[in-house]
Amino acid sequence: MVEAEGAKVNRCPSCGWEVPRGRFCVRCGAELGGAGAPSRMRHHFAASPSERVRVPRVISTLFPQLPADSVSAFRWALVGGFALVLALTATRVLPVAFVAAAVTVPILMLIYLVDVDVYEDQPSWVLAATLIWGIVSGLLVGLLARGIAPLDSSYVLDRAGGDVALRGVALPLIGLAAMLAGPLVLLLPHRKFNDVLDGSTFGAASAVTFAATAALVDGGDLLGAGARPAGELVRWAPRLLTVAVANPVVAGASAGAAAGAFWLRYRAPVADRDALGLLGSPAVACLFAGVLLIGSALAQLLLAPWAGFLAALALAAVALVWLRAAIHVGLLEEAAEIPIGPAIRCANCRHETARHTFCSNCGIALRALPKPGAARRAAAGGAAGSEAPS
Amino acid sequence: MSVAARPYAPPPVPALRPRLANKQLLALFGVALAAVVGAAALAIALSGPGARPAPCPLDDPCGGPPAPPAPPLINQTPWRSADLGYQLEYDPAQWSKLSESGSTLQLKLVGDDLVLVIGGAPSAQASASSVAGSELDAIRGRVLSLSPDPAAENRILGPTVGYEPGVGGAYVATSNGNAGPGAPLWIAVMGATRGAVSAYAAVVTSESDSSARQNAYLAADEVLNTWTWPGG
Repeated sequence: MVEAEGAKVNRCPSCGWEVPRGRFCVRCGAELGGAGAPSRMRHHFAASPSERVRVPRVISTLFPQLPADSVSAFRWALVGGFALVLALTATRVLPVAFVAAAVTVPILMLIYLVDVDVYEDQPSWVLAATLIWGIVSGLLVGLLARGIAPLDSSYVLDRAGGDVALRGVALPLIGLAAMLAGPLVLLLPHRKFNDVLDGSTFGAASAVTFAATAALVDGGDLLGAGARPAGELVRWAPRLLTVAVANPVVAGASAGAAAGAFWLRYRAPVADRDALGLLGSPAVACLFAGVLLIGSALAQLLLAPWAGFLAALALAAVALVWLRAAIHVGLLEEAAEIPIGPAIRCANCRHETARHTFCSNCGIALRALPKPGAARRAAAGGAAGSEAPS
Repeated sequence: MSVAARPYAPPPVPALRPRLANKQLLALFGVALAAVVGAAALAIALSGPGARPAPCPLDDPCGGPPAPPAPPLINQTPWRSADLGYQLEYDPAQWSKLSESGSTLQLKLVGDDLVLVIGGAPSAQASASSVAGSELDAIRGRVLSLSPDPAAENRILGPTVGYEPGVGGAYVATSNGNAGPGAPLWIAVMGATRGAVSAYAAVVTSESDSSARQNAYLAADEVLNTWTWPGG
């Protein structure tokens, strides 16, 4: 076993292993000062230890591999995107506001995937496959929606509710299948992408691009209505915020968590497969994701815009907490008897920690940090490299 | 599924920092968003609806007053309200029947996106404005936004149903889907009362081309011109 240089050891009250002294166990992530509760009981989100697992946060959940320094930039970018949507709405440039609302989160997702090097040394084909799958499937489902329940005069005057059933139930379920099919078919069989975090990230990325494309295709007629169609801004604003915030979050978090359940079931150690309870079962996870997507769609079809926005936000919060729990469980997967490595510097807190699974200082899961490809490129750009000097 | 659980391996040595500095990241996001939004704005500007037809000059009105009432020529498909007694005719080659009940009828114009819906209630229970308002509220519930049509050429100057003067107005709206806003819509609703019956007629179309929309309205007018009230 290689110990971090100069580190003194302590016995972890949770996993029972001797580990370097610090606030957190580098093997299981448990608080070393705690009473010996299992690491899985810890309330700190393994991908962002300053946050609680069950508190919904958009940035650290949809973009879990961001170190603390980058979170604020992503937060400002997201706020800036939403501010642009509201500004365009206030100036009545509604079709342009619609486009901005649809693309804000997907653009941020694309930047995130590249920024933290999620795909390590296979960036081009995996990145392209994930995003193109979301775009193509969104295009097809959007065209299907226009074909079976076009948003025209018949839809507005449909008193029997057939179109609502199609758009509120059938299309969200078809969409969920399309969002999940890409990650499951293209990536789950690759042993390189073994972490639950990989599954969640692929699922969320596919879903976010899917949701944006489907919305733009389905609402394409709006783009031919001129730059400033008439309308009540008090109703447009919540609807566009729903497109910008709630829809991508519900879709991304639901599909990400459902994909994570597949990774947990088929990729995680056997002992960890039940760690998420019923929602760790792929079938139950798909069912629950379908319920969230249907609920969001029906809220937007049947409720007034502000009520629909708030209902979709509530569903987004549920989906975010679910995805956080899936990521958390995935990152806390039990470590086997692998040796503790040399000291490295944590990209989240900048403190030295022994190389294993968690940072001994901030408790972040080291898997939830930018991949080494980013380190190499950063080093090429003048950074000192990832390992701390010994 | 042919996948298997992995053997545990420690995570790779994490990067000291991600690829982009925060300023680079914000700049990249801003440029990307501006590029997409700018391209969308350009495309929307280029593909917008054509210029509206010039309004009628004051001294040479384009339209005339409604034609004088005359017995309708029964050479098309007649429809009669079983509950309230009003009736009209439509050309089955031009219109397809979407639905009907004892007092309502929905017709869709073949080849264009225009739906004509008529209905009513006993005047003892509802006035012309309330039947028209109820229909407008039902439409409002299925659209994102509904507001009076600001275009002067779409204004309804003398709303009538079956040549009976009443109330009405023209509106614009945007349909509301499960994923976001949908097509822009043009809506006209009119209501009138004669004797024991209050009735309304509503037209909804997503035809964005002004000329095509006017032609579709004319087709709806032809149907409404065949309207006869109960008792004559």
